[in-house]
Amino acid sequence: MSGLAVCERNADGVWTLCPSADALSEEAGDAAALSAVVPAEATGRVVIDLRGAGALQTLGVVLLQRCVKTLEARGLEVRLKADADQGRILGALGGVVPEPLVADRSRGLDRVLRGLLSLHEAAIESAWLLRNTLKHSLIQTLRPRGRDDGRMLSQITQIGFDAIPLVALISSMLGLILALQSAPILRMWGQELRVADLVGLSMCKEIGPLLTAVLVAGRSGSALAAEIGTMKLNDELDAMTVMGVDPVGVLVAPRMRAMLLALPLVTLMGDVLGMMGGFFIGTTVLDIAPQQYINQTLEQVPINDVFGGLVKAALFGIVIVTVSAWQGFAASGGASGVGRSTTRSVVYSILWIIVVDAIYTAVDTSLAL
Amino acid sequence: MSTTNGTAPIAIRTTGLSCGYDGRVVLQDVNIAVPQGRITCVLGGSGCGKSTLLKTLLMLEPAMGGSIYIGADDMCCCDNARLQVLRRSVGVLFQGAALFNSLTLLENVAFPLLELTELDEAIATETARLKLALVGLAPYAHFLPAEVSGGMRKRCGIARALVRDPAILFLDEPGAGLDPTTSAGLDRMILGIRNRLGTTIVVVTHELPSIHAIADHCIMLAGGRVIAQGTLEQVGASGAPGVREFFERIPPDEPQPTEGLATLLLP
Ligand SMILES: Nc1ncnc2c1ncn2[C@@H]1O[C@H](COP(=O)(O)OP(=O)(O)O)[C@@H](O)[C@H]1O
Ligand SMILES: [Mg+2]
Repeated sequence: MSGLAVCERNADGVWTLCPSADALSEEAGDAAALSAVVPAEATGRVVIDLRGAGALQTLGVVLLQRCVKTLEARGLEVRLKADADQGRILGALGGVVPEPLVADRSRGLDRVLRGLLSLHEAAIESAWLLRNTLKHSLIQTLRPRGRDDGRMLSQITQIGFDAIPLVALISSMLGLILALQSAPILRMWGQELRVADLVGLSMCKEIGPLLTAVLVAGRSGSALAAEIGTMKLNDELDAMTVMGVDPVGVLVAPRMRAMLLALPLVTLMGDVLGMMGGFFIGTTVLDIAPQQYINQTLEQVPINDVFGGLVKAALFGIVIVTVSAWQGFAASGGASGVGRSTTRSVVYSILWIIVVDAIYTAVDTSLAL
Repeated sequence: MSTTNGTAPIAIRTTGLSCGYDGRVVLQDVNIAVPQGRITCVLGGSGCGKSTLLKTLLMLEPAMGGSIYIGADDMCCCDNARLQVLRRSVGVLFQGAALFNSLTLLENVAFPLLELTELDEAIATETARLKLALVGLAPYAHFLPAEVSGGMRKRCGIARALVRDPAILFLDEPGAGLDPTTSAGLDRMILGIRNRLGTTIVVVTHELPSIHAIADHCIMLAGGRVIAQGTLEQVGASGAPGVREFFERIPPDEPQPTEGLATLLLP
């Protein structure tokens, strides 16, 4: 402590605090310790003599300000003694900084309440967006223009082709896993052949569409949200709007059309590869004859169910594009805002995919019963 | 129709307009008139709401009150179709240029033509090339916005705003970030557009040399209000606080310390 400063009382009874250069440096600077050097019995006036402290810098000024505040709070009257250079620095930096304006950002409970209110708004916004997107998609399909089709084709590449390796790998592995997991149970009942039904039905009706949609939401939904969000921050959406071009038509509709085409096709591929995984396990581990396995699959997996799965995939595609585009348009608050929107686009897409899945299944099964 | 400077009819008029974001008012009680076929400069310190005013005039941000007339249309209560028609006669350069990052400069300039007209692609590209040459960017036609400098992006933004020969041109700080020579060239170009095409031009700027070179009419903003408008001489002579400081580049008074460490100094 004594390395930081010395504090002495001179003949007139005035306390003088002499900080060393260290006391105001980045390495050892400590305002609390500095003010503590002034002994508790000190009263009246304290002079801080800076002349031994060397050149002052911004940090030194801030530390001094704190120290002075603490001492004044103890009822002392503080004065400074400084050389000419230090005096100039104190004049330039030692002023009182005005309090910043309070930015009105809601926190805590307020934020939750506001969030609930904005749910209603979000529902309206995304419904409007969906309607607008479908309208533009319909127009672009009925009245084809080279540019729109070009955009759609490039999106089909990004949404469909580029997703093939990932979807193929994961679906075939899942087919393998499903067959392996169910084999011991089915064997107990002597129903090994039923592996074909189990893998086929679960892939086509549920796992294929769901898995593919989740993967595509992660790949392409997030990309859509990030692109629209960045364009919004960059005023590009405003630029389009003032040109009289609807951003939905340029950015969202081509993706919707591409998604409606690509997602069912990729899903179908996933279904088939999943069943091939099951086929591999069935014919090797379970010793089912290949022809028998194929016949069992063809018999037990009705084409309607496969088709139903593809309809579901198309619905999921609509969900992904709408949710992601809506999140992109709602982005605000700089790069971190775009990041948040991107994350949310994936989370909300998956959430709504499950909801749509549940509703579809409920309707589908109640019709069948 | 009312006039300013005795001659020009009014292209844009606002009455009691207030603008802002999410309930926070940035500008209030804005009553301005933009003369047709003239260059109107919107002046004011940084952060005083010039871009906000522009966005509100373009109906990109909803007005918080008052009305905006473009020609005879009240923008605040005209339907979407009418708004769309009005927007097609407007060209805008945004403060950050707002080029589409995935398109080359040429494609950016051709974008409005290709999206909004049934023009042949070759003709649209040819027109776009012409406009790019006008702002001196012809050699960079196939560069992406990320591959050129900020000033070049600005100039490309101007070319895009001009590509459909708009009746009203809005330029948000066209000269910011340009060297003096290019900036002077830009001023000459803006004057040329007015003289040859009779375009109504609204320029947001705080570059004094440009203001002196191009302004027919000025609107000066400060403290959330319009503090002066009229010709450059009228604004200069208006005596409103802040005007003289702006034109003569007088910095605000340095605050004398009345509190703080300096006041504790012993002689
Ligand atoms: N998107 C926004 N959301 C909220 N406030 C904004 C936004 N953009 C600008 N502002 C505020 O509006 C005021 C005016 O900004 P702006 O119009 O950009 O000023 P300038 O005159 O420099 O163009 C600033 O105080 C700024 O904080
Ligand atoms: Mg601005």
